[in-house]
Amino acid sequence: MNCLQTLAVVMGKEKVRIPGKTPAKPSTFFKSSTGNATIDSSLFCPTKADEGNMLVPILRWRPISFAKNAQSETTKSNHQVDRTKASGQQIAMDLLSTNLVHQELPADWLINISRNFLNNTSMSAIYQACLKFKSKKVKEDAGKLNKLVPENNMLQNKANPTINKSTGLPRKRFYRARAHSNPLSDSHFPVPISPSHVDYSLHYPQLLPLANRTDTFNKIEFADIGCGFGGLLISLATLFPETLMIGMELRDKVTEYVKERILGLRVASPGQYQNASVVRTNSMKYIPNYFEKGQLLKMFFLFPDPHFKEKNHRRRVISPHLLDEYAYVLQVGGIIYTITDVEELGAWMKSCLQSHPMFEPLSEMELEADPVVKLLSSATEEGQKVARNGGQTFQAVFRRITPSS
Amino acid sequence: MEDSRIEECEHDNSNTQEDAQVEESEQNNKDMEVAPALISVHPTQNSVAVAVGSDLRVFDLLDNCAVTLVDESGGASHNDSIRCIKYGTNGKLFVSAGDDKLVKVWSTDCWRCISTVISEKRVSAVAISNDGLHVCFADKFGVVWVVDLPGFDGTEAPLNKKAAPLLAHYCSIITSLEFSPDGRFIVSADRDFKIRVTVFPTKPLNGAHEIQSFCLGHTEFVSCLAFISAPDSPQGFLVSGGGDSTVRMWDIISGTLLDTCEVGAKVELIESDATEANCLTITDICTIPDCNLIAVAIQSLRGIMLLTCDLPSRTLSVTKVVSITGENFVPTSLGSSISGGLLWMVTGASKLRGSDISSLSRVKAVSGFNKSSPGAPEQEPVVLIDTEIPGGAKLLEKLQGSMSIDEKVFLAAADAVKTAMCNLLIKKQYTDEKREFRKRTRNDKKNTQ
Repeated sequence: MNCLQTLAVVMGKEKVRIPGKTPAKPSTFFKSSTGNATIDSSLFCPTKADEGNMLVPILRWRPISFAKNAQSETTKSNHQVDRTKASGQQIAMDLLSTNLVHQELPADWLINISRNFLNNTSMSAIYQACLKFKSKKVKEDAGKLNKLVPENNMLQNKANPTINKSTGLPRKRFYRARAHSNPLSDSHFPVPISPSHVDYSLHYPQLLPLANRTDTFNKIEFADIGCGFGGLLISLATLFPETLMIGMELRDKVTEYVKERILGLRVASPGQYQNASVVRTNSMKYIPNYFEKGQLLKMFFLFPDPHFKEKNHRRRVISPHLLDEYAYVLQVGGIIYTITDVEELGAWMKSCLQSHPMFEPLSEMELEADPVVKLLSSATEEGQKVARNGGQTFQAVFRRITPSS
Repeated sequence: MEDSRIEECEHDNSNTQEDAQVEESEQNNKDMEVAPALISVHPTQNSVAVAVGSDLRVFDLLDNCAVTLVDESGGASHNDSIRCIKYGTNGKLFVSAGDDKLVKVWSTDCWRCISTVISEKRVSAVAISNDGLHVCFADKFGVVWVVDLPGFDGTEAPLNKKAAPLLAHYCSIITSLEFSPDGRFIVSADRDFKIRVTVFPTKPLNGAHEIQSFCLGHTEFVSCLAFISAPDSPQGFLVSGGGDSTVRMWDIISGTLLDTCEVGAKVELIESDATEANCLTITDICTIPDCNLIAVAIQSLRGIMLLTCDLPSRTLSVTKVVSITGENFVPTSLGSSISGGLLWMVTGASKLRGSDISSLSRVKAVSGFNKSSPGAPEQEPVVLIDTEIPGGAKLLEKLQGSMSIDEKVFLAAADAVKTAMCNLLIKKQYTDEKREFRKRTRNDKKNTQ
């Protein structure tokens, strides 16, 4: 059986009986009884960097074993896959010739294969071939392959692998983080002492370049609490180009991603996106440090962490006590938008808002008229995921009022 | 002290680094249990109360005798350290609360416990509303609770009421709770450098939702609050002391910082042995009525610092330092009455480790404050000797537990209180390895193969 067929087995495209044992579990591949080198363990185990990431795609492909007894007697000796140049080339030629490269090959797998078995020329060859295909993902992945080639690396050593070369935007897979972050832990990030200490020139360099601003107009008016990967901010930035807005996120990798995304968009579309920014902070503790009384016009809480357990309800971002603080930073007439796909949480948030004396619900007409309401379920990653899975969303949109007593 | 212990452990080969760290955290916990002695004075100086550990001692100055507390629940009134005591401004009520999760409200006429409220968490601050109808207490998780007390005449059976949540600072230890002089606002200070001014509603049991302002400016935890009355503003001015060694003055309506007084720097000039790099925390703050004077107790300062508040210009300045000579007396708590003209101080602690005496307290008083009314003779504040204190020897015997106490123990007590406060209120900065070590008991991390 030649290498190609081995690959095919791996991809599950063909069912080929391997003489000898037909493995039931991947683990049988690891322990090679023949003493030959087996696959580099990084092929099937997440690398150190990926540990703890809940969103790393799990490879559907089973690892290959290149143990001697897995090959048929028709294999020519030079097809024996070992870490020599010739075999590397052979694999590359096989891949190209059968157009297997059409299929979506996961980048990590490609990289590992190439590291172990392909030489530089083969890698470049595959890269060139990949570029011809339409799939953007294949091109991206092949691009990564290309970067492994030392001579190419030299030219590109300034290129940031985490940024997509063609669009200038960051690649999400390098910014994956755990979906849950503990809001109770005292993380150590800088917090402004008071709202007057917030450095606007850092966030909005083009619009407000002076570091010490003495003028009092042009303040942040929209705040996306728990902005995640920034989908809503991006949509709002073009919808409201005159308004300054900020996203608040607790996870630092995700904040980095949003920062890079905004910077990339600012470069790609000059003049736009200058009004959006992100800050890493614990919004449950430090909102009064960022915003003055009655500063905000809109606050967004999109798909917050549900914290299902009763004892964790206190960690929910919408709670009767925290609503006091949100009412403080919202102007009278300001609007708070919440949406979730968890029914229990939706009911909870709605009841918290309804029983709070400083909030009243918006009427149906007002909801229809507000362009932002439609964005709640469509603009963010989370929202799009829910729509894809055909889930239901529960929204609660309320207005800040002066208490009647 | 702690550092040398850890070094010892590292040199000892049988102790792994894990053990050293576990030991250190246990030590921290024990240090935190040290409770400072507290003092509070009746508004018209009818009585003085001192709390040391779980012991609440009251001396009646009108009858010149010690008071026996009457508590229907039987046994000692509090089972664990008392952390906060306060008299109501109308003089009829007294409240005490602490680590035993009980809030006890006493009537000052007959010193009977008229109400015991059970709290879910340890209590760190209490306040009584000016009209005496509500008692608020704050727990270590940041929630302020309120209990309503219909007018008591002392003959009814004690009620055990249930408290309703009033407001909350998210996950932050509340260090101090005060009502403004006009009763419109309740001010709460926490460990996250924040001071929150909330409108105290007519129906507090439904919660206090309207925040008036946040007084932001401290760069370390806020440890104590006090109000200065001003003739032209009914809500007065708020004065706060913090772990950043500053005393700040605020306008609570707008939350603006009016003035900052760098008190810590002045202490270092005076005390030669205050050589640590750590900031000296303001332990307690107390306004002396009629004088526009603020008495400040600072860690390591043997005495008190007096600040003048200049109302027209709204500034604070240091006027005088009243040192206590002859004794190692670093006050842990201050108290004053509206009419008495005296500043009362106490030093002491309970649950001291490594000492024969597990709890001790020493009371002193300062008199001779210049009244701001014209025609009053110029006086120098002077520390009263034991015989000059109202109540004299009897008071001291009751409140201190004994007449004379070994001096060395006081320094140890002051140090212990200082460490306890730091460990409780200053956020610890962990190195990465230590943080990973602390996460070892987490059970929600994905198992890596």
